[in-house]
Amino acid sequence: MKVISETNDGFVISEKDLQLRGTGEFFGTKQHGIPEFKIANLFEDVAMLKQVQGVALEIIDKDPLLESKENVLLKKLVDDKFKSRIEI
Amino acid sequence: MVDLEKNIQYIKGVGPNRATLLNKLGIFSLKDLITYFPREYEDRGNSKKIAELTDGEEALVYGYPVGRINEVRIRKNLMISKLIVRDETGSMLVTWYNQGYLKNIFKPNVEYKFYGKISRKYGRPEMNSPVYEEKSLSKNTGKIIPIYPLTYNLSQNVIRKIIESGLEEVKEKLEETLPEYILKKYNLYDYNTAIHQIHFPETFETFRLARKRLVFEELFSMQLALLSLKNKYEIKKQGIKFSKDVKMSEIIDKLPFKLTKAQLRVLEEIDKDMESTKPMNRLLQGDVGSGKTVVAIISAYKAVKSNYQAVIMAPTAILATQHLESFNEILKGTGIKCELLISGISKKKKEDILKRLENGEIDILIGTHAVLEENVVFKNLGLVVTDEQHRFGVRQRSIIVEKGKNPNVLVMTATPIPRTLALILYGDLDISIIDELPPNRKKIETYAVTKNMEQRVNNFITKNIEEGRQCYIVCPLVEENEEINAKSVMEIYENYKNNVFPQFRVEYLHGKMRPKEKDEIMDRFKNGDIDILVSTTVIEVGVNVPNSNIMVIQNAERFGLAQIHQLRGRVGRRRISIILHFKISRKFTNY
Repeated sequence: MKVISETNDGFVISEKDLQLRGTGEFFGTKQHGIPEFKIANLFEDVAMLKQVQGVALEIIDKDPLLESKENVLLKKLVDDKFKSRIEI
Repeated sequence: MVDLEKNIQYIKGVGPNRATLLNKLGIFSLKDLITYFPREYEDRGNSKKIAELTDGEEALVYGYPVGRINEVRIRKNLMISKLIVRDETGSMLVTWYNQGYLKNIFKPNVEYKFYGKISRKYGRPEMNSPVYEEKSLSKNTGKIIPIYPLTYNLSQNVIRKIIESGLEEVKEKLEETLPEYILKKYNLYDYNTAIHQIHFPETFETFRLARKRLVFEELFSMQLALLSLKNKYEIKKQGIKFSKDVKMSEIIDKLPFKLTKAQLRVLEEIDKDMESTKPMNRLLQGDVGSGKTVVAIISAYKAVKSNYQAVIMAPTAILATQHLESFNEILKGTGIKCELLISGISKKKKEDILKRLENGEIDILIGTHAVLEENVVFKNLGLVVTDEQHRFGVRQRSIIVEKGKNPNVLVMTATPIPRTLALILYGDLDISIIDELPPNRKKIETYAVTKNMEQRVNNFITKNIEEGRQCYIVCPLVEENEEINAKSVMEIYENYKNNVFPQFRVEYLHGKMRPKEKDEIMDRFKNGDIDILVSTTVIEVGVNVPNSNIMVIQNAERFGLAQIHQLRGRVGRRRISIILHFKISRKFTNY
């Protein structure tokens, strides 16, 4: 609470907040379109996030529309993501 | 094949009543159930000998009862059941409070398991209020036990059992969701193993691996989805090239105020995007009051003067109306025609707007979700601005984008997302940040006060209202449950209206109200017909009431810092001062 009464810089505050609360609570309520995670915690899992970002880039580079046979399941994952209640 | 969409009600051990409670947790289907992950775990896996027990630890002990339970009545409402338990290394005292039914439960010469917290007093270990079980049964002890988040009126035991029966139904039958080559390459558990081990891990290592697999999948699918989306935009032909002859400076020079350096920098970035053939997809971040709207207006000016139309989407009608006022004010004399499309307008007016929009008489359309409707057709849409990103999902953004031929897109948000995170989360957008407030904006004064200063706070509010100011009271979101939140708003409202400020006009606002009612209240507050507005965070999204200068945030410790920051920005326009009321009374609150 010290942080909030001492600074007016939203970015300083949000970094701190993320640190203190983790992303789950960071965005607080459902109204944010920011993805809500069931299990991942963006603060704890930053390393994993970076890793999967690389993996995803590599795959999309080779197979932009995820049409190849080996990526059938990935296509499904993406489609589900767009359909699901959870917004991305 | 397992039917993952199976209604939760028909899972063994659920039924209609428990289904209602589970629904409140967001669990509707079998799939929801098995992906309702534990918050933490208790290690009831490794047993200890009585002689090894140390003070303060939680431990599992196997032992035999010595004699019967001895009940000691301390006072009227407090009775302690005491039982001596022994193993081959020694004995310990086990105690429970007010659990009379235990008296005849323990049989001599039967081995039991006890799990609980140890305290060592006078040399002999004690275990207080343990869970217990006959050794031959294995349900609540003897393994790593999951603890679930929010459970409403369901006990951990009940929810555990329900999840167990859910898992029983899907046992080894879940379809794999990740390709084999990924599982192999990154050394991940298969889906069945992961789901089972996340709920009932055999060891902490299997838990770690299960979590790794599930986190991988969750983040990975988000990244894939974002990248696919970005691809979709980029693969698609060329974007619009707005005229280099239309200079943003034409309008900037006419503004009655000076833009900040940050605003100018951001406008330059936008200008560059607009003049290139690549369709702009830009996220504009900036605190409340940093002047995002004027950036949108200038961008729209450029689009319109290049002979395109622009659309501005706002999350609420009142915000859209406010935008219209700003647009009209700044674009006065340019001949640019702005219109407002919200659900409240008359059918005739709407038809008229739609007609003029289609034949190009309207240059800038400002509206709510109403602009997404199918019959809203533009002649030549070139710029899409969405305000407050978090109210519009990616899907809605793509609906509006489809209304033009690769229009430029500007997404504005006041949520201060750390840059590192934004880069990942908004993989599909470029990012501009306004990190400077206009010089005439005073710093918001923020005071953290405790409950015992309430009288002083109230006096301060009274003084300000008597001077003609207005005040916000913000109540905490207790849970993601609008009913409970509404109740807490109502309680505080009643108290303020009847007891604390009977002389003032007090009103309330919460998420359970209909949009029309909400807009009505906000309108009245804006017009100065309400002195004190008690609300949940529904005011979080961008409405400016310049005359309001105090915000009291109740139980502020329940909010995130970023949220508080955004909230207090609401009173920031012509602020005099602001109070954050940290009623640190967590233990005593009952709402």
